[in-house]
Amino acid sequence: MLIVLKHEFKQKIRSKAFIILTFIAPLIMAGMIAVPVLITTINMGNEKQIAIIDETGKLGKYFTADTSKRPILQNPGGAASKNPSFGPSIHIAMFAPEAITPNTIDSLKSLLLQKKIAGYLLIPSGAITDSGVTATLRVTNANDITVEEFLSSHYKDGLFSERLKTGGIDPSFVQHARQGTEISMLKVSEGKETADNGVGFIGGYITGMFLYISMLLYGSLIMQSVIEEKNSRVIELLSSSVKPIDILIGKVLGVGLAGLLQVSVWASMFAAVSFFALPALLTTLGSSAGSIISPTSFIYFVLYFVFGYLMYATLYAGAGATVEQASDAQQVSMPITFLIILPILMMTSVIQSPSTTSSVILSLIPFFSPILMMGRIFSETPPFWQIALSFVLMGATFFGVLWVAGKIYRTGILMYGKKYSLREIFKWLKYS
Amino acid sequence: MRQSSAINEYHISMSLVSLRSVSKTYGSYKAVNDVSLEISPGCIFGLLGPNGAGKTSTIRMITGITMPDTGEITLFGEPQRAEHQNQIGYMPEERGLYRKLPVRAQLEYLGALKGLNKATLKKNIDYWLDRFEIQSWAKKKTNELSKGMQQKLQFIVTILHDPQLLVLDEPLSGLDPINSEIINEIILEEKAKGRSIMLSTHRMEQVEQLCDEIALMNLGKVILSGKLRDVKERSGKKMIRIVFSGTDNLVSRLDHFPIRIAESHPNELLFEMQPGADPKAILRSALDYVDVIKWELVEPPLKEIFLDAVAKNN
Repeated sequence: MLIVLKHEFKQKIRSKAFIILTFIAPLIMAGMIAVPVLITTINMGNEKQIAIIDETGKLGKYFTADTSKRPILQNPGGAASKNPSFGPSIHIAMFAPEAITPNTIDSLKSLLLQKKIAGYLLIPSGAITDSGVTATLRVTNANDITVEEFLSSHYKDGLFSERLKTGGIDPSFVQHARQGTEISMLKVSEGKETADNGVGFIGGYITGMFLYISMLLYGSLIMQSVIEEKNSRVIELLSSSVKPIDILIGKVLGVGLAGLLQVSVWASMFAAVSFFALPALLTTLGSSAGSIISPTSFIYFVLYFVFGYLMYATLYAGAGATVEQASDAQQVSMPITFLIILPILMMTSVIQSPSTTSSVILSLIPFFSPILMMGRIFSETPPFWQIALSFVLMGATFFGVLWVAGKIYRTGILMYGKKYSLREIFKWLKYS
Repeated sequence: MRQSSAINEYHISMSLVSLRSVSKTYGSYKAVNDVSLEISPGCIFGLLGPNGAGKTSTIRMITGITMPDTGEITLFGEPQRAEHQNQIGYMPEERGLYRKLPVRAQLEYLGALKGLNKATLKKNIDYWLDRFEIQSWAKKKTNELSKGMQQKLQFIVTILHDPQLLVLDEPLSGLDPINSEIINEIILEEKAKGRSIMLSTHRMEQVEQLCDEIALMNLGKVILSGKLRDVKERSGKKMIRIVFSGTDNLVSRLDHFPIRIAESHPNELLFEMQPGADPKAILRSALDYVDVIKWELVEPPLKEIFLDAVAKNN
């Protein structure tokens, strides 16, 4: 068995696909995070000219309230610029009422069509007093939401303050009255309180998806390798040297160790990233890195990966032994794949209400435990006995699965020439 | 070898392989039905039979791949155990190798599974790669080899761990005459070393050339077994071979005699004497039409016995 284990492990870690997946996959994931950041960084240098025609004469200052950092070339009526935290820098040319001439709009329109400016905002004179009057932004590219967002948030603030003033209310008083109205949420678990902000939900979801993908991936790897040995008939030679159950166990453990190695490479890459980059990212979300990856939840994650893998890999190996061609693999693996997908479908509701009876029961079903119990651990740490029970049940299930898959494997690997019905496969269980 | 002293002790008295009333059923299909057979140490044993006779099922039980439903198998003088597998070299009819594994890695893995340690493994691999002159292919992937080359590799896998018992299922299929001769040579060498070889084949000339003992299976049962010579004698067949010159159609001239023509070639005839046939009369009649160069009473070819027995059994 150890020889089989060693061989399978070596074969897996030496394969190109494995090496590529181990090192390239994290890079792709990092890329998916980095590229949008990079693009916005590139956009930073991108300057946009916006003209505002303020017929009220009162709202202009709200757009210029931020300290202007760059001089503007065309600046007929006192201009300003503002850099949003991300995205292009926006330069504003402000047309106060006294600067408006009858052909202002026409000239702005032609500038817009020549793409000299990104847009112009027309604030009608009645905007403050008449709530039926709205400001209009004319642009050539309606998809550029950075401009729209920037303008509308400032317009909103300005209009609000001005309207308060017309009613004789001090805007600074209102601003004061608005402060400190949020409810702060703390996740209470035994011995500590942590700010959560939905990070647990995300964490549960990410680990759930990760477990799902890895169990599916390594499961089908095992299945392929079983089918390959059967298809190339080398299995007959192997079983003249080693007991089939030892081949099966060696294979599952060998590929499993390779998988564990891969996962730890990923995990340490992830840990490195979270150590350096995540704190910065999470500070903006208002949370701490510690709440996502506590050592305990990491250990649980590894354990659920191991147990989940053992159960599913063994199932896949048994299924693989019933077919000869890789093309038939899909068909027999479908019920197993379905077992992995089901908890993914339930995951959202279980994470949102982790303590309901249905959530507890579902997360204790061995085939669902890795994904659902892990989700519960992230959202609201369940009582320890439930976690322990899930491991006991998964362990027992593994041995049950091993018994059944071992029998199917032992007979299946020597059966050639036709597809076997479920009824026939059930009969194999009775063979001595 | 670890067990050689034990094997030498029963060398004289006991069978190396012994099956007693062994049966194996798959579903409702009785693949092997109450089979008993013995293989003596240092003997080449031919397991014969038409396709579907139960040869492979029998071999799978001897090699420990499957277990008999009923009956008893004794190997090397002891009840069959898993450890015996290391003393058996098995070449399945459906050849099996890892397609993408390089030749040497293939041999290393399959040899290690037979319990060989690293040093012995290396020594044996080098010896056999040299012997078959495929040393330069050691790093090539198996699926890059020609079919004949793969056959050689398969044979090396079988013999790499110097087994006490070789079980060869159609060892010559896919081999050219030169390589077939090498395999036959090695089989005889192994026999000389005191190893036993179980040969399952359809090539009667290989059986005639090599086998000391045979068993003929049909429909899951052994219908004929024993020493090759005994089997031939017991068949009670009287066969005559006549070699002649002349263009006359001798077969039609002799067809009124109570004989059965077994083989008919342009200048050679093999026939079986049926009850009441008079050899002198036949020879006289033949001399009337052709010049007889050779007239001899021969052992019945195995093929004849084989066909006869299967026909009777069916």
